[in-house]
Amino acid sequence: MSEKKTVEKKILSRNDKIAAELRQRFRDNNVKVLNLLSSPGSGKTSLLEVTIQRLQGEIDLAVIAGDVQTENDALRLRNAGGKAVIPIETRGACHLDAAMVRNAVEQVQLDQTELLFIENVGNLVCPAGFDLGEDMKVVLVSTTEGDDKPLKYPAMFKRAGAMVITKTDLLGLSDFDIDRAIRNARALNQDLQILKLSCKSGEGMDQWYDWITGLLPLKPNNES
Amino acid sequence: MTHGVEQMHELAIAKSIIELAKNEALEHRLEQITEIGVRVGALSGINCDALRFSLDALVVDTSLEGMKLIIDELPAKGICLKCNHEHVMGDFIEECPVCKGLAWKILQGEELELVHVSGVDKEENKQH
Repeated sequence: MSEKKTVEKKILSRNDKIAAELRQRFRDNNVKVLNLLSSPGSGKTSLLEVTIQRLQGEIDLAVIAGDVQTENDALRLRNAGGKAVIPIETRGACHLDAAMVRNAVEQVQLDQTELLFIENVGNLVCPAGFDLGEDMKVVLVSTTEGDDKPLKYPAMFKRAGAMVITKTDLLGLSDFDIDRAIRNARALNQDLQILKLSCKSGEGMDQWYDWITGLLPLKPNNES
Repeated sequence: MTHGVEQMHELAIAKSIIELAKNEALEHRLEQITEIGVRVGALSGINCDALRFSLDALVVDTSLEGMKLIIDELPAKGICLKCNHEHVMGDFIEECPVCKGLAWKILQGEELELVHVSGVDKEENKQH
């Protein structure tokens, strides 16, 4: 006799459970965690390179860098001066999951870290559903992409806490309408924080550094 | 670090479904899983064809081979925050057909759930 049993459970409940454990560990160690997400080529690694160069020494930074194949991104970040850069090579997988991050975190000295960046695999579809225990998902959109990107990937933009528009030095060279991009993103997520910057021209970078520093608990003598 | 080759995230999702279904079967003392039901919202980022393909590929030569998969695909539904119009959307966000607004409260479409597991009951199996 066949029996039908009602389950009603989230399919990613195992991932969510590991993510919740990670989140607790990060909190216990006072580590802020940002999960960086975007399409390939939006500038996640470039943004992290300049951020490491600027904030290393001021903030204790660590980076977990996901890459489908090769450890090229992690190498770039180490060359930029990153002291704690842990690569995750997903070997074809299009996203990071919480178990991968848990493995990588073993190599991070959490008690000596204030801010941990997780550079996700370049992809706007798959990583959206995978909680990694981060404080915030930060989604990057470059001015060489479509300004309707938020509408096409609603799952990602709804879950993000901040949107960073990159490559603003190229505004005007493509059909990207920055106001429309912001309106589209805010339509999905009224509380979304928005930053605009260019790693190349330096425009908006001070606001980015201030924003990051503002996420961290205040240190005595923290005048910048 | 070794991870399996997963070219699409539907494969990872399919693995999670199987793992979850097996645990549920154990808990409910089902000897063999004959059918599972999942609910997939249009905004969940899951392609149902790819999910079906992945599950079929994963169960070949396992105790789950021949298992039936029922996918309840839910369209995205929202309420316009400007004019309160309730609207069923495609797989991405559209303008409100009434007021052209773009801000929605999403009512449905983000689901990704295992709904039920059917199988042969262990106890009953012994009696027959």
